[in-house]
Amino acid sequence: MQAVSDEQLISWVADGDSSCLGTLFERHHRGIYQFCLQLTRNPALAEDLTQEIFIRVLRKAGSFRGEGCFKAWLYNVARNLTFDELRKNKRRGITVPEADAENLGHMVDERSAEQSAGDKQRLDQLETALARLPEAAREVIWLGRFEFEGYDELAQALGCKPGAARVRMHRAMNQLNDIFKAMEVNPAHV
Amino acid sequence: MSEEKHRGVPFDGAPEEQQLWDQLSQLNRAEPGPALRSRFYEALSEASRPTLAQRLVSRFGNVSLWLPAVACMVIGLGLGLALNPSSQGTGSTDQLVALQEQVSDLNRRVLLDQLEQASTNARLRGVIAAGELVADDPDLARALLRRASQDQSASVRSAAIDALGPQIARAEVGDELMGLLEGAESPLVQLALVDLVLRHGTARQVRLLLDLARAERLHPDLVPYVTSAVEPTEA
Repeated sequence: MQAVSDEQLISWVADGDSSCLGTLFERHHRGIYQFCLQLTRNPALAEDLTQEIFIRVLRKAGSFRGEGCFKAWLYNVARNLTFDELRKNKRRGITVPEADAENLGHMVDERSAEQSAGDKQRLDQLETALARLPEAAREVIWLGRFEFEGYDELAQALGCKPGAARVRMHRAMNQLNDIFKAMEVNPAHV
Repeated sequence: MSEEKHRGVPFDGAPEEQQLWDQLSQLNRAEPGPALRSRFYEALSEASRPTLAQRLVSRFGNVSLWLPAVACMVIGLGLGLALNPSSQGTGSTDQLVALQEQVSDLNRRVLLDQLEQASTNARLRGVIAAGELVADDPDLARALLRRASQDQSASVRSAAIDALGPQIARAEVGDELMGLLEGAESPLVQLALVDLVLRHGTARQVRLLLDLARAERLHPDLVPYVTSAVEPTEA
């Protein structure tokens, strides 16, 4: 159990106590980094964005009015900033050097030695299929699978209604399944 | 903090999709590099620094109270110089020095007054402004220590601790702050003190902090923070 809620901490940040942001950073920076990494596929850019997102939170703390949960609001800030950055890069014609799924896996940590080769291959395929999804589908799957446990919060993070979040999730999983099946039929595409 | 296992949102798709959904949870989740934390805290410290305009507002508070007085003094000084040209030279320099002293004394009194205001925001502004002058002013240091130890608002207590910053190396300030560390009930205040010791504390204070953490006499959330921050450098 957390001694002080996220919502209480952000209200203190809004009142001028920026030291409380350190506690929020400690609680959420890993998840935010992993989310940014999923969208950008670039560890250095994901770290820059993580830092920028929390500084943005410091500046926007006053606009969190206690409606809904802080975490969903934080991820909404994160997705807006990350998509802005991706759009800017596209406009400038900058292609961010992507880490492929295999390298990303190694950067993370080695897979458990007990995992069978078949399991490993299937997980690698899944990671590659996820990377091939459009960003909008990737974000809804990542947030729905790893960060939130209800569609109300997921919807708040995505900036849409809960019904729309549910529909987006089903579409995204459908797309993921299509890509995954195509890769199983033709493993050379992996 | 340990990685939490999330169940994810409820998902009921076709069997193949359901299987993928279950397998997604086995994907590796990348860890950010160790430099991210220090880069963030540097950026936070930079971003928390008030702008020039904010500093002027917080330092001088309600401009309408003192500006007319200063303007009258300047006009009076100007008139005096104009009517008595022979006094220019050493006399005018002395008068300017006296005027500067009066203004800075006025600022100081405004600040000390702000630190005792009933409004939390006013005290916070006073604490931030006092932080910039505290190095040269024992009265301000004492007033900040009073805020750090007694203020009813945890935000003001934390801000006062931050404002005392490098003063922690001075024995009279350091001893009092270290005394507050163990007794602080608010984890926020403890966190501010811990950060202060880690940033500005002497080697003895850092060792004392580590001892408190090892003896679990700090808030449980702060113990791993302290040990991970101190132990790598100790090793």
